[in-house]
Amino acid sequence: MPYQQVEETLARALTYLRLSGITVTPEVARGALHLVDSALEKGGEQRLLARVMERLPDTFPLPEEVLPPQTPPLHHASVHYADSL
Amino acid sequence: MNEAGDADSVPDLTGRWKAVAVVRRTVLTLLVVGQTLAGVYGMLSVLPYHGGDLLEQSIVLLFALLFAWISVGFWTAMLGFYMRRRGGDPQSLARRHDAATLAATPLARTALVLPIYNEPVDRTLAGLRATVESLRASGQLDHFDFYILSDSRDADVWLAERAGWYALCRELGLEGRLFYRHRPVNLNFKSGNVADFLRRWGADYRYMVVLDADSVMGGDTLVRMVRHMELAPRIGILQSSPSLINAQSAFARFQQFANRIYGPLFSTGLAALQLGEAAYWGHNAIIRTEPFMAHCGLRRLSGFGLFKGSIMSHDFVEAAYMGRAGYQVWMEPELHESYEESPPTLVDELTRDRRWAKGNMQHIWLLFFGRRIRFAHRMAFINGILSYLASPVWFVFLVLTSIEATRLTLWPIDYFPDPQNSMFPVWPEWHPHWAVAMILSTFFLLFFPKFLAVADVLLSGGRRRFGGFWKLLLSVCLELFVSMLLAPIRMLAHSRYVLEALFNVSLHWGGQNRTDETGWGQAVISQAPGTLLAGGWAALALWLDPMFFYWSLPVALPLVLAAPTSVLLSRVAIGQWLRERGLLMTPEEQRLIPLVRTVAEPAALNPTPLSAFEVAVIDPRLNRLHRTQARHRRTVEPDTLRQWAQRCLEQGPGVLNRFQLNALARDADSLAWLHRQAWLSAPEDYWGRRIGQLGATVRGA
Repeated sequence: MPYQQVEETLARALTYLRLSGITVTPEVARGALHLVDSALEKGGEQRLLARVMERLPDTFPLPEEVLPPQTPPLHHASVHYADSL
Repeated sequence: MNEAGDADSVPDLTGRWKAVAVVRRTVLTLLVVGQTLAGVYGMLSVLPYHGGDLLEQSIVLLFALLFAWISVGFWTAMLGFYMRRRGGDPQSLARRHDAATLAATPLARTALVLPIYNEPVDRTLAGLRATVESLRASGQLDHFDFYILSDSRDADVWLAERAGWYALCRELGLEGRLFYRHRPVNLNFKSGNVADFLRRWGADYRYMVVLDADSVMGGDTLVRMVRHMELAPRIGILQSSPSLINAQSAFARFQQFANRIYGPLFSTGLAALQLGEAAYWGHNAIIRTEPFMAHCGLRRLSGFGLFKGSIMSHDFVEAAYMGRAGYQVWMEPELHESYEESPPTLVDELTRDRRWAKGNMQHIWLLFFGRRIRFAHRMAFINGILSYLASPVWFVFLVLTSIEATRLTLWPIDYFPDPQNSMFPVWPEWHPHWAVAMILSTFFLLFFPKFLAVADVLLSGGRRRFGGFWKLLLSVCLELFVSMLLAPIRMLAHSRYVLEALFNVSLHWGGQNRTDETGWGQAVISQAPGTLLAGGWAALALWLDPMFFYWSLPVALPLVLAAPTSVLLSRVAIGQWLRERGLLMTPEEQRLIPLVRTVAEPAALNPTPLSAFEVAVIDPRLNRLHRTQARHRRTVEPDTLRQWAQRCLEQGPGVLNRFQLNALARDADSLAWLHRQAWLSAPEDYWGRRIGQLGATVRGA
């Protein structure tokens, strides 16, 4: 079971990195392994996933893309209604 | 132009179109009235008592209305044929400026607005992508901005729309040029959505092009439309005549073929009659924003029942208001590369027609109480109203003729139908040859324009674009057969919709679906009333008189066969079978231009098996996007939101209703909390499994 938990934690971390826009190179994979290893050293299997996921952003600076503006600045104007139909 | 968008301050450079319009409309009126009088004379001759009693007078009155209605269509097509054969209408916008003048005209800032409401996101954004790419190819992309204006109510839909907008911004390099606005409250439907855009950003643009969810427009066409508007400041709205594309089911391919082959004739004729007082169809049109904002705000109707509240079919009314303000509304059939799609099934078409019937019936109020509306635009209202009202008129006509037949067979002959005014008996007369002549002349009015459209294609040398002469001929025959099958079904459905609208009630008798194909069970249930009615009517006719039975068959038989017709026409396989044999081909199918190819196979914006809400929770980038765009004002207490988020975390979003999901998706804190907690879920938990699925998809990609 511990091996399975470690494997799943590593897979979860790599998935998160991929979805964050980080290409999983051998170097990144080694970094993730090291992160899981150090999390195991600090507290065994208890809260392993939580410790890895909490430290993930510090270990791998996640790319912060500049988001496009959803709308332009407001330029208020009125729509007029006739006095009658 | 002045601040109020006043038309009087704008020079009128458009020539003598008004005088020409008066002449053309007068000639049309004379032809229609003359033809109708001839038809009425023929009908009176056919009826046994020659209109001598109330029943026969009612039959003649309804016949006159229907005959006049089809006569208008007939002469419109004749005019269209004449104009096309002479190389186009000399009064049209297309003939007004030469290519060099158009090319030398600078463009003005234009917004393309795409109002959407719970539409298929992949297809909708594929259409927008195709339009943007075409504009880029035209070299004039910089003059245009793009707005997706969403009224969607389901979190799964609007989250997908926003994710799609984000992906499209990055893919097309349109950051800061392509925008997404999601209205939290969809006040006044589509017209309210566009008005919301105008209040916020309308002042930034001289023009807006309104698209529909299934619209695609070519860049060169859009550029040409802007230039026409720049050259004619009195034009308030310029409407293109969209062709149908991308049909897959048999039903859609029949509609697409009919639109593509007969459409040019009718739209050219209509444009030649309307000239600068055309109608606006709500999409694939360019609008001058300043006068539109100054004059086209839609008041709520102040009447009763249907005639109280928001105006549902806004486009005709906006065109009428634009005309009232002194601006012109043109429809130009020669603006090519303007496309839309057909509903895939009869069920989908009738679902749409139910809405349109209600909207057009509402125009009765504006027809009588709308002030200072131009006569031509009142005629456009009548045209829209009759498009649906003709169905119950036809239905009542059939009922009355059945009563007439029953009376002649079962009741004793009345030799004195009008005893007060006649001392002499009236002998009922029956002239079968007159009846045959009447039927043949009606068929001629209905079908001759279709063959004229084929002649127009052949004379234009375009037969190969429709699959060659023999396949074109066979396709037209097939289309005639199917249109005869569909006409009574539409008549009965439209009659129901008109009744619903006028009495402001809903008469459901079967469920509607929005799936690609119609199921047998659903078709049988929804068509059962019409089938039973038609079966009973045909049986009565057979019992009364075999001749009457044969007369009833063109209407009764399609209604009896309505369920299989609806099911078989909805089948994509049949549509493809016809395509493989070169039948119902259109030029766009023969040669798939890039504009059409893009929407024919839209790329999946969310290729995962997860819902948009689940992706918004899990995907770090999209979660950040949705959090950044979330509203800061809360409409739900934080404790309540946390309870819903906790349930969502434990059991998934399926346990929450639409309101709860919308509230969570709009709240940045809830999205952040769910994101953190989901990633900490055990692999066997709900979110753990979803992360596993998403991870597998990402690794596979």
